[in-house]
Amino acid sequence: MSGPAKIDLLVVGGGLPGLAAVCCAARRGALAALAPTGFETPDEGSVCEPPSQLWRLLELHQYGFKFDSPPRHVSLFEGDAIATGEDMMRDGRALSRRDAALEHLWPAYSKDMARALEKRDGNFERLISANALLDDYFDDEALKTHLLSAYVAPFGLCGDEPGSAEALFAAGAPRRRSIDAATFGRALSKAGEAAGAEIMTARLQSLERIENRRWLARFESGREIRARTVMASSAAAVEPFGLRVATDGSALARRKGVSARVRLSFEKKPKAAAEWKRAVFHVAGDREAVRIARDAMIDGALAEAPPVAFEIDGKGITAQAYFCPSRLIENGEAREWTGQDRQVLGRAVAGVIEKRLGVKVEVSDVRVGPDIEAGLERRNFSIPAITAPAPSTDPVNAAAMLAWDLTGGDGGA
Amino acid sequence: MSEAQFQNRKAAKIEGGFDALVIGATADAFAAAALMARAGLHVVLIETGERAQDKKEIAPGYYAIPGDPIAFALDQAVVDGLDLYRCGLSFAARRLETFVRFGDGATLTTTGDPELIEEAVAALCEADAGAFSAFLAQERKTARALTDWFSGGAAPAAPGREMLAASIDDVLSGRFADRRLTDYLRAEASLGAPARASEPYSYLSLLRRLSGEIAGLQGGVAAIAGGGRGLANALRRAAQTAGVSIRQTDRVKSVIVEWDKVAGVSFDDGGQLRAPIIVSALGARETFIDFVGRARLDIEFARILDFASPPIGSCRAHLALSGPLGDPLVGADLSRRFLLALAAQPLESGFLAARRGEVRPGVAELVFPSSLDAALAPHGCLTATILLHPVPYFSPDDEPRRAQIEQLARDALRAIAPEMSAGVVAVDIEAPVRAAPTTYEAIERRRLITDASGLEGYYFCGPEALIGAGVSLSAGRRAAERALRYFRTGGAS
Amino acid sequence: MIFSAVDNSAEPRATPLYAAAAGLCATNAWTSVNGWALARSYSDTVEEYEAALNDVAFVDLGPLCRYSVRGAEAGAFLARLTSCPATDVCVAESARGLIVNAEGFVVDCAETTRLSKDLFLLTTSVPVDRRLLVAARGFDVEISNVAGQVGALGLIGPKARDAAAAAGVDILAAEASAQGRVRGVELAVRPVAIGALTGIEVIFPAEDALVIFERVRGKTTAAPMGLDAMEILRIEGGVPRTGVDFVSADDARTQGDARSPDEIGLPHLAPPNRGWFNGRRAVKNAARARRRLVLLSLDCDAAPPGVSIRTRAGIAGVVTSAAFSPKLKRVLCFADLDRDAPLGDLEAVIGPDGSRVPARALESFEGRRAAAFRENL
Repeated sequence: MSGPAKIDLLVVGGGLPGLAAVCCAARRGALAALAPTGFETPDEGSVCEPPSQLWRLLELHQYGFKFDSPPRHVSLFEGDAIATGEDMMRDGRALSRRDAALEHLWPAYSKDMARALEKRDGNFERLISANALLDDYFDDEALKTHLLSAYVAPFGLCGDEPGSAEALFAAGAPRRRSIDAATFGRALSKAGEAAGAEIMTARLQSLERIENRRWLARFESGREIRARTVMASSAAAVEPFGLRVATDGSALARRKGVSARVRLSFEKKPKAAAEWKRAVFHVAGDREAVRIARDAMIDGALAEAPPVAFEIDGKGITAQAYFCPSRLIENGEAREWTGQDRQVLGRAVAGVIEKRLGVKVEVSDVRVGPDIEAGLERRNFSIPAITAPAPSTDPVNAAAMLAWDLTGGDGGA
Repeated sequence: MSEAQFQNRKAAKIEGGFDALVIGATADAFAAAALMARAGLHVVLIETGERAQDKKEIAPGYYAIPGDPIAFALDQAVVDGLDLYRCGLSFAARRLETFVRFGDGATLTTTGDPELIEEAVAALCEADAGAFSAFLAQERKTARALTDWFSGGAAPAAPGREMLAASIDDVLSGRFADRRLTDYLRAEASLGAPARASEPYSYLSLLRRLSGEIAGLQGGVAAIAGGGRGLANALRRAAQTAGVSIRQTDRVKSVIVEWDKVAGVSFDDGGQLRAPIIVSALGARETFIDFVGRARLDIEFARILDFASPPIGSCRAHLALSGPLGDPLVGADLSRRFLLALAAQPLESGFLAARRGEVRPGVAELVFPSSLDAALAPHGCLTATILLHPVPYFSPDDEPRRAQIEQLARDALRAIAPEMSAGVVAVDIEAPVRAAPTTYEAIERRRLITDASGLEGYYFCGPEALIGAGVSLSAGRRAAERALRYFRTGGAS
Repeated sequence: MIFSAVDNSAEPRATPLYAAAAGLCATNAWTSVNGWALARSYSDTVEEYEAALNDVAFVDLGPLCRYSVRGAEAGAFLARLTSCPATDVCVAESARGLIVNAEGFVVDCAETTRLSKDLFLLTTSVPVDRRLLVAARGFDVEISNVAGQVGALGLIGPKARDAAAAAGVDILAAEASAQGRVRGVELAVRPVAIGALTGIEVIFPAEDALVIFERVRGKTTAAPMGLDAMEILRIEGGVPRTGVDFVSADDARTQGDARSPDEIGLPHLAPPNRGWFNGRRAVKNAARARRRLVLLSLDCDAAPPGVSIRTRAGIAGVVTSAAFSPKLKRVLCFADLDRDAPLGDLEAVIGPDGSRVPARALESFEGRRAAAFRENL
């Protein structure tokens, strides 16, 4: 065969979202390939089970998944904790211990969020800030901090940004169980193989627009592929590469700073792990602390006590610090992260967790990135923006559903 | 007998026979009143609070004119409809050059005509000149299509969600090899905006800035003769010529609602002015919640009014300078607009600080009113007006804050024209102005507020109806148009 | 007040009357309304129905949503929130109305009862906590959701008043009020109705449920009535039910699902010529109705909801709820029809073979009131 291969859909950006997207497209009959960029986040922990649509399409019942109940969000405060993420009536009843009115207000809030999630046009709530929306619903400052930590902070937002209310809508999404990310990855690889999707190992080198609105992708291996359509697996995997993405007007794209993942080990398993099984813990203090961390991030500094989200497993703790600067600024000069900075961050995160859990923890690993801002600074304006799923708490399924949409109509023919 | 005494003598009187009342004395209020009067309505404008001074002596022989000495966007329909040029509106400079000083000390001088930007940019960065001018031309075209939307018309079909949700940084960062070009556009767009350049929906503020038309030029800058009061005085004259009667009062107590329709306003002394149409140019909460009351407003509508706007604003400082009349860095031509454009990072930090209630450098816009009107300063001396943005919104009698703002103004002058800053003899700080949001949210909120009060005959052109910084008169025109439609379809009878 | 068909809870809870009345439920057929357990029938649906129609029956009204609204502006607040003329209601009287949103679509039915000068009881069929909270901003009112804290027993039927007198419950409240014991909504007697069928509702503290129950059982002949018998009565009375006959505007996915007061056949409950209430202007200026909810009688023995109603031109709508009326020996049903469908030649398509039976529009208590209201407009 001479000349570059011609395909229907090129999925840029690997990882689980990319895999899910390329499998989905291939199963729908499209010639599809997956091009990693090198900015993917590794597949660890657990992810949401895919929606039944995708389950049916990929015949996922063959792969023997083990299901876990959906994780609960638990905010730990000094001498206080708030947990949500169960059935809304049950959550409401639990919250009514804080304030009797919440028993009925909480289900109303959940239902409103579910409706807001669906309502795309003429939705004023989509345009306002998360804090404005929370203030409109609740008085309980701790509950507002909890919702901010659980739904807004993961996007690197502190809740005062216009449009950040959109992140809160996820509270209204149907609860789905979770599955092991690595198993899901293997299943997707097999499903992709069976469907004839090409999963490249060589990284993408360049992407350009050629005649007839087609795309030409060059790979580090020297290979070239022509594609009719290109989609991004996620904004985070593609923007550091310098490509622009179009996420259908979502206000949740991270534009500043990066997330850091800190792995911690402990000698004695914290009591909280037994008290709250299957939980994502949040330690933020209050909404002001979240804002301080966000401001520090933009100012190129590390907050002293950053808001932290973490999960506890048998061996240790995996923590996320959402508000880290892309580059640290000292005396007006920007510089890259050093090993020492990572240590400082690790210690700060460990300090926050130790204080709240009351157990000693050791930092074993700190990872920062990917750096989107670097990509934004050298973006390629000569080609159109690439369709990407809107940032979401469930990026795998968001990518798969986008591939589903793109291969509907004539794309799947 | 003064107007006020006259008013007092007639206290507690119920007056009727008017077609429309306008509450407030903003430019939009005068525009709305004059437009309705020109259409044949008997209009009363109720001026609340104290009348703004035309001039203030900030130091012996130095005068400052309150308000915005320059304008970007004047609604042509109002200018024509009221014959404002005949009422005294004129331009001291129709196409002001903008002199940009960057954080690193470099400068860029743009001609007053955006069409000629390429040459100017070439002087700063040869490689980007073509791209910059092409980008600006493209954006002006996009902005033109949105002009009607910004001024209160229906949402256009064309722009996608993607464009509406974009941030200034989404559109700009990485576009030009020379970052300073980005800094320039970011500064232009950030002036008066409440959102950081990296926040969603902020791109709209760039488009709003480029959509404005002044003196027949889209995207231009003009200085109105008479400074900040020039337009206000022309509008007042237009209103008087059109037969608007102007009443002065401390405050309006409430709006009388009969059935679903407004019927007039009442004052603290029990007096009433009755008319079937009321246009309010005061704040939305005052207009609806204070004057009408929640009990007569739909729950969903009142809820929209409860969302607070960010406590961020702009502040204008007037400086008296005893010389020198120029600076090697800016040259001797002071009849220009000077813009201090920080780099992305310091500007973001400035916005964050303002949100927190701290005063930090942001964008500064400087003009020398005395170079356009020599009577404002003694011979051989100057006055300067600096608009600082963003600053935390503060109470006008917060002295420590005023001192901080004064320092910020001095610093801004030093950054733009170091030598001139030595000659500052006095600084006067105006009350801060709340940022007029350009976000999609603000535009949606305006739609909800102006359309959905449910009260017939009640129209709104207050601050929440304004999109983007600077006076434009569009809100007043829209309110007048709605009122006239209502009047003509018999709603007022 | 009619129960909603909305239920979000997987685990229904016991109403205050549950412990006392559950023993009478021979059928053990339970359902859940607003998260509360409610018997569908106790013994025989038709017997329960006939008892209510000719004599008196008692029902557990605990699953309704109850709010106490207290404060100097309670009346004004309720007159804004609902279309009930709450400011004009005298103590111990009730007013019916609708909760309408700003677009003029029906959120729910509502009844306000004035218990004292600044204390009202608001009864709705679906929870409206959030709406209450937003509406209360700027008003001098104190609102609390008292469902579960109070029990409610309804006596329905022509002899309801006699039964209430026999059980002494009607004077209970009068006494309590005379002794100044009406501090909250914990003791109240108010009139209720299912269509033309009137009755009395007694509201009492949850812990007194057994006492009240014993008095009613001991001193009267009233038999318990379940949801199924009430369903027949309310369809006969022409009263639409939130959640089946129309979707609450707060739950509507699209505006096409939401219904105006006129469209659900209750325009007389939200008269645009009454004082200001939420959404009144939208109701007044509403575009022509798109749909109408019509009470039909079908010449058949059973017709499940979802059956389509046809005219000669094609499908005109769908049956939203139906019940076999023992009195008329026909199926009565509500159907959501196109506004323009002629009521003269309707047919219901029943059965898998597509067989059709004639469907005739039927007069009802609410229907007559709506018609009279439309004529006067």
